[in-house]
Amino acid sequence: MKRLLILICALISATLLLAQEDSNSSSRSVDSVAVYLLDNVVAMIGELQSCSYQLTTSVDKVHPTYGLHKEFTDYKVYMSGTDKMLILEEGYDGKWGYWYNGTIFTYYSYNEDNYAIIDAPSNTVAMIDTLHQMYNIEFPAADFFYPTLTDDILNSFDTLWYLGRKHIGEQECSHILATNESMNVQIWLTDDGFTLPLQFVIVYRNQKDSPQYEATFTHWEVNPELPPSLFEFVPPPDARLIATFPKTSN
Amino acid sequence: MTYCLMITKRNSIFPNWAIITMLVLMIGLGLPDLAEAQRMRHRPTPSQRPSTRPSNRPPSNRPPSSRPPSQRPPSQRPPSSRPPSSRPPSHRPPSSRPPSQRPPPSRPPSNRPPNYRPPNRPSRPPAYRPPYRPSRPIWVRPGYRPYPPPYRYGRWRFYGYYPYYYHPYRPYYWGVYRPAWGFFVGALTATAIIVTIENQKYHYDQGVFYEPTDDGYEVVPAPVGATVEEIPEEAQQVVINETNNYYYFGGDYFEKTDEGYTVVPPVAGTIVEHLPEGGEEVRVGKQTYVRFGEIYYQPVQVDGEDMYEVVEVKEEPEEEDNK
Repeated sequence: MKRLLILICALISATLLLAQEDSNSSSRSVDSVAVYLLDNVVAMIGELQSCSYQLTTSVDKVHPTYGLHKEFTDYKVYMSGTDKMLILEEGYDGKWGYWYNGTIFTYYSYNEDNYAIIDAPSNTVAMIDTLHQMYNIEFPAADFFYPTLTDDILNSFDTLWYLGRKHIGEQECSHILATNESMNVQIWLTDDGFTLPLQFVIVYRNQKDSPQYEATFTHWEVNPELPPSLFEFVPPPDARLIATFPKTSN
Repeated sequence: MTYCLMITKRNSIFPNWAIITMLVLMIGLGLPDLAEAQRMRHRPTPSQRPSTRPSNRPPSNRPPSSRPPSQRPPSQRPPSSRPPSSRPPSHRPPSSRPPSQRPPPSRPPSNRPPNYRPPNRPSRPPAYRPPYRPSRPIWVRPGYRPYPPPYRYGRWRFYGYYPYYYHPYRPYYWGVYRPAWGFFVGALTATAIIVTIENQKYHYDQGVFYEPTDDGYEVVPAPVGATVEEIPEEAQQVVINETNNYYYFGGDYFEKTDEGYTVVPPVAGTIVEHLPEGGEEVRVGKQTYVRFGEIYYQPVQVDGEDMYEVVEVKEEPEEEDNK
């Protein structure tokens, strides 16, 4: 009798496990067209020697008193090779400049007229990772410059869909949607021969009021001639050099 | 001229020809040296020029300049681990900009002065030199009323009562001599008294505490718990917890007691008008604070005046930002 009971329990457990695996596999869905388009973006960006673009972001912030409100920021981004970057940012937090020349990273506050210098890794992707981790410095839309973009999306999201060709303004584009339990990410890619990011929206489904992050690319320039001096910071005459407080400091 | 007259008077026993000869000899021997010195001293020869680099500087381990040579290789990208692109290479249109159509540079006529030199573009700006850090940290006491939401930076929270309002840190010099923390003096005045706290001997003089070193005294933050009979008249009264028995002088805080004035740690929310020398501006995310050891001051504006507020810094679990 006891053996029979154990056998029944084992059978029930195995059935439950199989059912769970079935439900997991059925909730995961990946569209091969979406994967192809993302691979195209990675290939296109990987072939660039230099680029520049403008980016406008809007972020939903939750204020303890007022609730949701949007903050807008404009960026001008210049990149060259694998180790040079300049970002000019203007928005809710004031006007900022970020220079990276392959060795050091400088960020300058135009409003406060002060700047800080940080030793940086020798390539742009590693620099973005390190500075975000250590100093909370945001590089908006940086995900598109990672060679692992497609794999990162496939690993982080349960579904990935191609939603067809759309128009944003006069620009024809491809629409991709990726979802998981906490996020809904929509990406629009240009469809004019250059497969480049045009817009993306992130909806945080697991947060109160489902705040959104939206970014729109404009003025893409592919392989422009960017002088190396563009990426060297020259302090204005009265600017003050100040210290930085690492996020990981003790 | 005066020198010559004195010689003439004191040596009047010599004949005139002897005096003239002596003068000629003195001028003849002294003038070349003087002339040589004026010509040469302002510009030493290269071999005699002392090095401005300290001799004990370690050899640089910095890699050579990252500026690419003029003959740039076709691609500097490291070998990619990505799968090969499915795009046929011939589909990429060639550049539509013929080199010959590039207009010549049309630089406007320069209105720069003839001796104008463009600013140097150093490969690295001057290194930041951190100020004095006290060996014994002073912690901020929490505020007496609930805080508004803090400024968040990673796992750090900066609690204060006033909104951030940046104004540059400019050290204030009180009326009396008040050297910065870390300043070294060889001797103290006779008015200095000895104060002992936790078996550590300090010297106190006119609002400043000194710690004895091997060959002198070093200015240190006021040791918490030390009591002195007097503080300088320039000390300012600060309101903490709606009481008026706290005083601020040169970055140190004192509480008036029956025995005199006892050094206390600062309380978050305390507003002071001036900060002494020895602080450093430090960027925390997108805000700039002034740090004295472990004390962080937030620039604020109170009734239209630039002030500083003591903030409490706490470490809390990091939250994912929606950005």
